[in-house]
Amino acid sequence: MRNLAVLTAVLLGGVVHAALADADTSLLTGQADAAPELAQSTQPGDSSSSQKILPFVQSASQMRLTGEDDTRRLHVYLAADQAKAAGFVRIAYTNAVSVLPDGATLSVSVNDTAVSSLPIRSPQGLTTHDVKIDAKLLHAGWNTITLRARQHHRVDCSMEAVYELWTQIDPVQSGFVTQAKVSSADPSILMSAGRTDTGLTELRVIGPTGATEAMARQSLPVIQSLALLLGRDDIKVVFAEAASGKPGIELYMGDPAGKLQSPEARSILSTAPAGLSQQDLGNGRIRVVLRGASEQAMATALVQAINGPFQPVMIGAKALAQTSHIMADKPGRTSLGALGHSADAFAGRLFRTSVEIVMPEDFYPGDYAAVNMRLSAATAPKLLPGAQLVVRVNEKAVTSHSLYAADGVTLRDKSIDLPLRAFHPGINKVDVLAELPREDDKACDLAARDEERPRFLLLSETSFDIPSLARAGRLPDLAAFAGRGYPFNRQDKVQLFVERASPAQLSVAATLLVRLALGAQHPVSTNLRIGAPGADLAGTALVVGTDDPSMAELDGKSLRAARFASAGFDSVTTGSVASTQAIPGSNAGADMQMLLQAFQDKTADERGDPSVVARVMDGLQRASDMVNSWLEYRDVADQPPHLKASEALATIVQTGNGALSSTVTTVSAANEDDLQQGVDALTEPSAWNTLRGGSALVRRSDLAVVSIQPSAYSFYPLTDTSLGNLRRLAAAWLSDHFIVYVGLILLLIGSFGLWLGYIVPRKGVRTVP
Amino acid sequence: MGFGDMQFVSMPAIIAGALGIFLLWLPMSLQAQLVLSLTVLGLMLLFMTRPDSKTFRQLSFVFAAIIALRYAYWRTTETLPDIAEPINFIPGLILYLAEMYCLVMLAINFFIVADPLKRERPDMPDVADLPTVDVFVPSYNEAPDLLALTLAAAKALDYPREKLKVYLLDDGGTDAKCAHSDPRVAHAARRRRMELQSLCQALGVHYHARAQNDHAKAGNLNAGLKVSTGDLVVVFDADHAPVREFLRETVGYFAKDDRLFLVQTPHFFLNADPLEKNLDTFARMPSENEMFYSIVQRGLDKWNASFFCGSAAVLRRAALNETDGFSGQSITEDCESALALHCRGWHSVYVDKPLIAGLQPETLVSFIGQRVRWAQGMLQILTLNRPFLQRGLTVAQRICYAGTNLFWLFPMTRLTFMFAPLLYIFFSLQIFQANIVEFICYTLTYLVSSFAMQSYLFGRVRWPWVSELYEYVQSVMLFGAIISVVRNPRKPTFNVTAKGQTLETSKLSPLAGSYFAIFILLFGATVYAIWRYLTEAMPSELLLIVIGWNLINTGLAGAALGVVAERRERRRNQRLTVQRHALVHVDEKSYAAIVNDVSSGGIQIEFFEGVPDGMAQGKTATLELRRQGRALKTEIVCRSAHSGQAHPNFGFAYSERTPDTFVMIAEMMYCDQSRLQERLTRRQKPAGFFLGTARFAFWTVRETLRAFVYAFGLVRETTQTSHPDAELQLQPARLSGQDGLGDTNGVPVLKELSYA
Repeated sequence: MRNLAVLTAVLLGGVVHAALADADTSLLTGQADAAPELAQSTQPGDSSSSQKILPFVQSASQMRLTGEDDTRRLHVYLAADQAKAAGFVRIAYTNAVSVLPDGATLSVSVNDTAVSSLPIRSPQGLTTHDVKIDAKLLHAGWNTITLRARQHHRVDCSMEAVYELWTQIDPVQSGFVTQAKVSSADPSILMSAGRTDTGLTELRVIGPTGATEAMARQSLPVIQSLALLLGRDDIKVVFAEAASGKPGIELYMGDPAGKLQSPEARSILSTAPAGLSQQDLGNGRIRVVLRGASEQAMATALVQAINGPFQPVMIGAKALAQTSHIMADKPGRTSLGALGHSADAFAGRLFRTSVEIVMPEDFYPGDYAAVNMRLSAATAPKLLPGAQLVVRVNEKAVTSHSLYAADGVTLRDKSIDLPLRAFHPGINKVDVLAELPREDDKACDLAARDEERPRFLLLSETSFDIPSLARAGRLPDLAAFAGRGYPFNRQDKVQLFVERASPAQLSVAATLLVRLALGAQHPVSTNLRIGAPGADLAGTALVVGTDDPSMAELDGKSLRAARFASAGFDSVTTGSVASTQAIPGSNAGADMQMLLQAFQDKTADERGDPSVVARVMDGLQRASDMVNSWLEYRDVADQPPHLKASEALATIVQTGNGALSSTVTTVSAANEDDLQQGVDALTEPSAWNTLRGGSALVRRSDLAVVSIQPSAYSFYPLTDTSLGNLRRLAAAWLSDHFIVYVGLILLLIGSFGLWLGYIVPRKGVRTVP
Repeated sequence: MGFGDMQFVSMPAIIAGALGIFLLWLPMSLQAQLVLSLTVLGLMLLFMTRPDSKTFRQLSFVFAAIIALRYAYWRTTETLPDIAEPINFIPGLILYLAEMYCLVMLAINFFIVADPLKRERPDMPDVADLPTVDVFVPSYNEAPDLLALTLAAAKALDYPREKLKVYLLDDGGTDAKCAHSDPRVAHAARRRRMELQSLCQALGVHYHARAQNDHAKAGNLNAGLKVSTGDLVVVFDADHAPVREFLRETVGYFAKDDRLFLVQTPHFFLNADPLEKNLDTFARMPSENEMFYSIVQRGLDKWNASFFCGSAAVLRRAALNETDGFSGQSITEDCESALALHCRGWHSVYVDKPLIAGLQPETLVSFIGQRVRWAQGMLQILTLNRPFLQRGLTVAQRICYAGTNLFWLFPMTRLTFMFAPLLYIFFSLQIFQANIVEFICYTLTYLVSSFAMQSYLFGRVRWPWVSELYEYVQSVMLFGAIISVVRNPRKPTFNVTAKGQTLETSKLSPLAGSYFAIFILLFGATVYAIWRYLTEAMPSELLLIVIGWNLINTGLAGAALGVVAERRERRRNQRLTVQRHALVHVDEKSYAAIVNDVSSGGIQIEFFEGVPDGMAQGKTATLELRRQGRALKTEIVCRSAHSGQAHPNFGFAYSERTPDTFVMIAEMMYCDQSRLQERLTRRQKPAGFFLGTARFAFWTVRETLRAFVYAFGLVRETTQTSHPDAELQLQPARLSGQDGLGDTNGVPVLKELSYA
């Protein structure tokens, strides 16, 4: 689809000139004069009502402030008129009951200028605060609202209690409140789309039920483009016959004269100008109309809109992305300062900051190199000896370093290696935690707490060095799928199989496609097909259905611990982090190994004083378990989850053959309700980013996502055949299969040694027999 | 297997080796490393159970190389400090280079001892075809009685009289010295010349003193070459007395190979070096040089690279003529001469049999002096001759010479290893970036492999930790000497090693100060590090590793204190167990006896058919031996009596010592090579690693305490009356030219001598 190619290029490049250089310029000819900007709407109330709220881009999981001191940077897009006018930042929040109201504050900064500090004292439900923002602090385009929560426990001063502290910002009610009127062509209209009560951004494609399939075919590129413009990762696509009145985006597209339009749609289309237009219907409802006589005309209109008024959105979003995470596609160094971190003295017990490192989709984890964290920090004197720095990658502690020094310690560029085995393709979360106990914590005299006595300072010079990575796309790898839309992001066209053309199944398929587009950072060109794929299916395909043949396969024996869980790094003591952040599935009550362990622990006291032999045997057993686990690259605690098929609400399974570039990713459930519920859980941002391995399931009991390690991988044809990459790949693969490595070494070097054994006595002067 | 077949096998094997090395240089996980290391170690230990299998020997080498290469790769790629932290990086780099030097030396050593040669003595030619032999005994300042034994033993060599000439090449009585501007020096030189001329005349040895002392020993030997004509030249140091079979064991090789320029034999010592003496290990523990002479020289021989060691060797005059005699550019003329001749395509042979017995320096000062000369000389060759780049050498010879010369850089690495832990203990400098798991997977397995290989290759001749101790003791004093020679390779001059020294009382060596300072520093560091570990609530794993490392260093330094705390040595003459039948005439009665041991000063006799009446201290007797049907007699006087195992033993001193006495002493001591061989074989028994380590730990404690006892002047020793050796009785020398002996070079010969 050439239209989509143009769209992809535009969205990837952000600047139209370069993108269009290779594009099908015929799409623009004859229309450039006609629609240089979005068409003006004349509908009443389309520009603005008296007050409206512009939600933050971030979803709920990105708006949770945890621990004693936590910071979140939220983004909101403002039109020029909105920036010129004074407004409010509305913060709706609730917090943990354990947060001590006295002294708990939520400070608000706008574009790095502090504006206010709010109390945190709403454990019973949401409380809303409006913070007035002076116009001079705002600017047109993307603005950054920084929230910093400082909170303490009511009664408990232990380090573990810190993990009970949280303040949740409500993404539905929070945002920037403005009274400024803006032009209906301004992209801020679209960006002001509200979220539903469930916290999701619904994108409703309106059309008659009978024409859902056709609407879907037509709308998939548009849906993805809108999602990319919005930049939100909580988008849910819904195919509906009529507008629901809920916040979100209602998409109408096509030609009013089209046969497939419903009367309502036809009416709206007929009043809308040609091309892409938008209307603010109030209450967070945005109507987007893409009117065109043909698919090509609509694509052209979409391209022009993106190249026109929406271009600042895209460019700004790219700039923000560069400062929000580290793209690890190329070796290099990125400092915390470049990621927006500011060096503020920390006075609490547990310092925590996070960095996201986005690994390329064909990244092969292994031990051939490490991400090098160069730490610049300082601690205050009189910390207790237990003071330590812990670095966690994807919720697994990978290293710890003592921070104890009686007179404080200053670290400059201290090198800390984070093993690449702890990372996976896509988004990786690196948490830097500093546990900073002090003697007076033991007394737990909350009134005597002195916030003016800082304990820790993490300097912005702290940086991360990304090494050269082994690059080989693997199949299956749901981490690459979820993180970068791999391999869908590399195909000209992929197959999208939907079992039945029902609105529910098509909604699920479109929602998944949106997530892939967000990961790939460009729309994915799809060929929508209704029905089940044939046995001879080749190429890259996403299959959505309710007939789940794999469900029966998900019995206990075929399940293995998630790959990320097997890295074997969490042997470092990290307070309560490990216990509170355990992997879903690994702590299941049905876990036989853990049950057995729990039984033995409980009954240990009943056997009296165990004999020396029993103790020795027990110790040996534990040591053996530990060594075995280490050799298998997993923790002792990480046992394979044992789940019955009936416990799975929905599954996602990746199969195929990488060498043949054939990949089938199947999302399925027993029925459409389960499918919708399961995909909602699966695409929830925090869950989506935990996908690993070859398959995953959504557990019916708690909607947790459990990833499952594949028994084997196949590889896509290499795109990087340089010697360096081949060497890194060999190291990574042979590390994973070290028996092969040892065997090869013994064979090769042993052969050489045997030859030496033959040749050496015959060389030089020979010994007299 | 023919050449074609060999290529058919060789190429795949070489390709397999190359692929194996590629795999070894992959950045693998710790899990893979550990499994690989343990598997390889297990197989290595299995191979080592068959020490006679050459195939298993090579497999042991390559498997040890696997672990070493993995270690080197990891050390290079993952453990070096960041270059942005020069305070860590610079010392870290120095430590790294020291380790890499060790790995290079390991590789060279593996090559050298790949297949140590075992030779079979060739038949001697017919008497008529035997080459003429000139024996050179170069001397500078050795005492006449020391020379007397060597010359007497040389004269007793089993070789046709007419084809053997013995030359004493006296550099202590050169014309220049006799005409020295200092009259005391000149007088001593003239006196020495006269004494030695007389001795030579009595023994039938040619005395030669040259005009000038140019080029030290090499110049002296070259002067000897000019006044002699033998086909072969034998060199014995002044204290190196040969056994009678020396020429029978060596000369035959020259008949087999026209291009043979050297037959070298081991140096066997009758006395203890300072370490053996002060740690009280002599005669139980293999001597330091046995590793070199029993294994390394045999390994070099395999590659036609065994070299001249300055003495106990036979050289072909024709070869020496090609290079205008012995080379004298460096102060180790022996190795340099061998290098020059190897470059010209001449061959060498090493005979692994002790055929001479000599002395080594007894005191630490003389020991260090000797090693300074060796180290400087070898580094002179390295820098001035550049053996690795010399034309005419085979690749194997280049490697062997490079290894031999590079070895002498060990003080730099040893001191680096000694002091490196202090940087972390005192300053927390992270010069080695590793955690405990990495340490176990890489360093520990490498260390285990190294110790296993050391035990496998050298266990028979070197106890655990003894190499490290010798290295450390020398390193402290050699460091400056090495810096000096590197800065100015032509600066060092030849210093004669003092031997035969005695020590009346036990005391600290004059060099002991540095060793005490280092020990106190290391011990303090250990204490401080342990304190750090106990008080820091979360001490780093690295600290634990460093404590262990520093503890070993402290142990080495403690044992070294024992070496510098010198036990008294009042024995002037070294004994050799001989078990020789003799007759002892006492009061005109004859008694059959066994001479149990012999030295230049006396003998110990066991009367197995009854003790003579009245045998007690001061009783005189006549000792009679038979040699080829001829009776040899000398007067002896009883000095002590001991209860032997079966019969009483009596210690006798020689009542007088004439040249004939030394002929008799030489006959008793050196008539049979097996006496030396037995003594060597008896102590060449491997000590297991754990036993050896336990013993070393014991030394560490015992010797440290003993050294501090000396330091605080708490030595309590009883004084015993020691009878002086009988004086050397010499007759005035006859005028030169009468019998062709005693070249005077125009200096008046002695008319009368009186040795008061």
